[in-house]
Parts: sequence; C-alpha cells; structure tokens
Amino acid sequence: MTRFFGQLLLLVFGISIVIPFLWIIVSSLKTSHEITGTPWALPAKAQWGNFTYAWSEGLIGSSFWNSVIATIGTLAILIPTGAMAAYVLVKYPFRGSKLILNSFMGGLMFPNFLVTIPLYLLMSKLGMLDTRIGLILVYVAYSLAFTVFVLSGFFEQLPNELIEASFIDGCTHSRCFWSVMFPLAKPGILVVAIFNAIGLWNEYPLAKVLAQADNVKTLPIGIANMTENQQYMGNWGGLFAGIVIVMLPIMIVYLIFKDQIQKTMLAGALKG
Amino acid sequence: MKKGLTRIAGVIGKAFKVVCRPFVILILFFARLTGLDKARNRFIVGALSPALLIYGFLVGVPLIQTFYYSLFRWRGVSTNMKFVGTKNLVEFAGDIHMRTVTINQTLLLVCGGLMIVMLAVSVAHALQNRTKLARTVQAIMLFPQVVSMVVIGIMWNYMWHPSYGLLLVGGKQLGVQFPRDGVLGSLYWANAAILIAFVWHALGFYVMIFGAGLKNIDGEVMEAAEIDGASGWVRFRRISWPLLWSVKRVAIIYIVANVMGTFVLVQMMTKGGPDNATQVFLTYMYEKGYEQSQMGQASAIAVYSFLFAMVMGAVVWLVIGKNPERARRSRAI
Repeated sequence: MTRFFGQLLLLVFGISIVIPFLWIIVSSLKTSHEITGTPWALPAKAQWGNFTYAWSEGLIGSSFWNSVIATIGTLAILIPTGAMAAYVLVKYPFRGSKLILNSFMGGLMFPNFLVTIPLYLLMSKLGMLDTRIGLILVYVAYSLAFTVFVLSGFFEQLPNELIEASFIDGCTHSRCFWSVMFPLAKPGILVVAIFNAIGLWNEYPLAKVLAQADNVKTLPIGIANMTENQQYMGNWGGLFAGIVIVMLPIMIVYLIFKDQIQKTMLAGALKG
Repeated sequence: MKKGLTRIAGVIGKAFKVVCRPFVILILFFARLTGLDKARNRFIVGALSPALLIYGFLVGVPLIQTFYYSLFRWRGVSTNMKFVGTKNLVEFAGDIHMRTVTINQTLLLVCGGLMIVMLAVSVAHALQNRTKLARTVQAIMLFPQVVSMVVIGIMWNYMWHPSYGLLLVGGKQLGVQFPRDGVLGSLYWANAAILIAFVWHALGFYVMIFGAGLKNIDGEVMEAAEIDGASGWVRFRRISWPLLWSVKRVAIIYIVANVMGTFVLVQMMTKGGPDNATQVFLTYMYEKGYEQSQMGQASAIAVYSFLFAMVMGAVVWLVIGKNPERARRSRAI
C-alpha cells in the first residue's frame, strides 16, 4: 500500500516537472494563434520558422555568442586561479590559510546581488560597465568561492607522497603543481568547470546590472528583453523558440553529466 | 554638529580606503608566512595572489562598502554624499513597502520551507524503491535547478497567464474560479503563485540531499525496528526523522540562503507588483538603487536584509535544536 502511494507520488512529481518544459518546447513549434487559442493542443504543423525568427530578429543569435564568450573566457581565468589557490590552501598550510579558506566558503552563503551597488559604482568608475572583460572579471570573482571550495576537497585527497617524490626528482614547486598535481585533479576540475559553465550560462542578476548593451549582453538578458518586447509585438511562437534556445543546451549537458553533477552538488551541500 | 559628523565620516572613509587595499593584506600575508624556505613562500604568494586580488577587490571590498554607503543619502553618480548615519535604516521601520517585503520574505521562508521539507522527505522516501520510475524521476528532478532562473520565471509567468496560461485553462476546465485580473495581477494570489513557482524550482535539490541522508541510515537499525514490529510511520517518526538531523540542518541553511536570494523569479513574474504586493528584499533594492538611483537607501536595504537573514538564521538554529544522536551518546558515557 505504501509502495503504491510512493509510486503515485513519484509519478505526480515527475509529471509536474516535465509538463512545463514540454509545454514550452511544444509551444515553440506552434503559431501565435495556436498558442493563444488552444494551449493544450499539439501544433497542426511544426513551425521551424519560429527558431530562425528568434535567432536573427529576436537577437538571440548575437547574445548566444556573447554568452559563449563570457562563459569560456571566465572559465579560462577561473580554473587556473581557483586551482592554484585551492592547492596552496590545502597542501601548503601556513598561519592564516584556514582563515582564507573559510572566507572563501563564507562567500558561498550570501546572495551576490546584495553587494552589486558598490560593485556597479566600482565598475563604472573603472569604465568597465558594458565591457566583456569587466563582466568576465566579475564572473571570475563570484565563481571563485565555489571553485576553491570544491577543488580544495579534490586536492586534499591526493597523497602528499606524490609531491615529495616529485621534489626528489628535481621539480620546483610550480612544476610539481602544473605537471603532477593539476593533471591528477583533472576529473575534479572537469566537474567544476561543467558546474560553473552551467551557472555562468544562466547568470542573470550581475549581467543585468553590469552588461546591458546589445554587443555584450548574454542569453538570459536577451531572452528577458525579448519577453518585454513580445508583449507589444505578440510573436509568441518566436518567444518560446528563444526560451528553448536558452534552456536546451543546458538540459543536454546536464543529461550527459548528470551523475557527476549530482555527486558534486551533494558533496558541496553536505560538506558545507 | 552636522559638520563634525561629516568630517568624522570623511576620516573614517579615508581610513577605510587605506585599510581595504588588498596590498596591505598581501604584506601581512608575507609577514605571517612561517618557515625560512624562500622558494616555498614565493610559490605560496604567487599562487594565491591572483585569486585573492580578484576576490578581495570584487567581492570583499563591495561587501564592506555596502555597509559604508548605507550611512549616506546619495544618488550614486553625483559626488554629493550626505552623511545621515543610521537614518536610512531607521526610516525603514515606518516604510510600508519595507513591511510588505519583510512579511513576504518571512512567508516565503516559513511556508516555502515547510512545503519543501515535507515534500522533499516524502519524495526521497519514495525514491528509495529503485523502480524504473524512480530512476527516471531521479534523472529529471534537477531540471528546474539547472535551467536558468530567467527561463523559470518567464515560464511561470505564462503558466499563470489570464487568457491562455496552461494552469488557468486546465483549472477552468476543472471548474476552479480564478481572479479576473489574472493570478499575478491579484493582490492576494500573486504571492501564492510565486511561492508555488519557488517550491517547484527548489524541490529537486532538497529531494537529492534528503535522499542521500536516508541512504546513509544504517539498514540494520531499520530491520531491527521492523522485527520489533514498528510500523512504517513509527519507523519514520522514531528513527529516520531524528537521524536526518544533520541533513535537516544543511537543508534549512540552504533554504534561508535561497529565500534571501530570491530576485530573478519575482522580477520575471511580477516585477514586485501589483502595487508592490510581491516585493522581496532584492527586487526592492533593485528598484531603489537602479530605477530611483537612491544608492544609499538601496545599500541600507542590503544591510537590513543581512540583519534579517542573521535573525532568521538564529531562530532556525533554535528551532532545530541539538543533534539528538550526540545527546544520546554523551548520556551513555
């Protein structure tokens, strides 16, 4: 009996997750008339034109590339900096190293958006509003807490004997890190990179404040602007197609790496 | 009097600018390194400083500045900063919008928290049966977490759309009466609609951590209880629920952080409307800071919400109480 109710609960839970996403995907293939007229029905004919409309006229295409650049640029700076810091904090204990590690962890708990007012003023003083490099630096800063936190766990597990052996073989400290420890931590680094990539791809509040201009705005900003415009233009199919373009890449990445992602989320949650 | 205060503020400001320079931190850092191995010290400083500089400049400094700016009446771009002390904060006590914000945030925390914990524990229990359905649900349950909050917000906005929203059309066929201005346009329904969207978005993560907690419980304890004739409910009430203590604590910390960070969902669904009925801290701060460009007051909202989060954290801490496992162990000794 309890088993039956358990399965029923799972079924309801699963359906409640799937239906909104399916609705968006199905709606992205309908005409505006069909969307407003019969929301529960399937499209009479798949409207692939919605996607080309969203990509070119809805400016989703250009924001797509801005998002790609922002994400890859951030990861390119974030991963080496974060890995070096995590490695040193774990494997080179000195007075104050615990404090620094804890201050990174503290950054995990408070909502970033609370401090955006000074951040906005700082960036505008430096002339870095609406620039790619400004956005990327801020993204690096706000992803460091999580990156250092997770990577320090990975480096902690690597045995100290490896470091000592590499010293005996004549490695310098930095050589030992880059040629021995960094490659060994690769599985962890891959997971952290995927995890950060998802977060950066989706990031909205910081981008909203710091990078609104057309030539730098990322996908979440693009789709939010498009929603505002559609209230007057009424091309609903195009809007839903834009939403699909934003969410589908992430869903695919998630399905490929879901085991590692769930494991990292759990480790991060239960350790902190 | 006022002149004196402004001067004191100026001095504090200058002192603060000096103190905040991360270079000072770096110098302290040099001094504190122990050991005489120069190469080692050089490596430590070299490897840490990029991360520390970026983090310090873009996270640490703005965090301190938020508290500093909250003491001023200031429109951001201008140099005209008027020192008002705690007046910004005190004014909120009588501010009607701030009252709505506090109530909304508390309701979201209490109702949302209870709904999330109850649903997550039930679903996590159901997931322990490794059926095909359970595996499928486990695979898809994090979709709402990995998809952008913007998409979730837009999605739920259209779910509640008055003329062709999925939920409304479905509900009408079942005979449910919805308000005429649409759910999100109604003073009373809008908050409930946001609450439902919030729970829908967050649930998967909590199912995951409660599931891990349940898996960690020793199977032998459960078997022993079953042999002793404890029913399913008793087993849950007397064994799993107390043993989930550490997971509960983590979950509640995350719920507080999640609720305090609610911004995009509200921004996308109602923009704080109708008539400011659904404002939360961050949307109100956004409106004050970036739309009315009252940077001082907006910073004060941030400070207020820090305090709010701390009080809520303390209350929550008292509610969960001590770890029952630890208490029993110490008694045995």
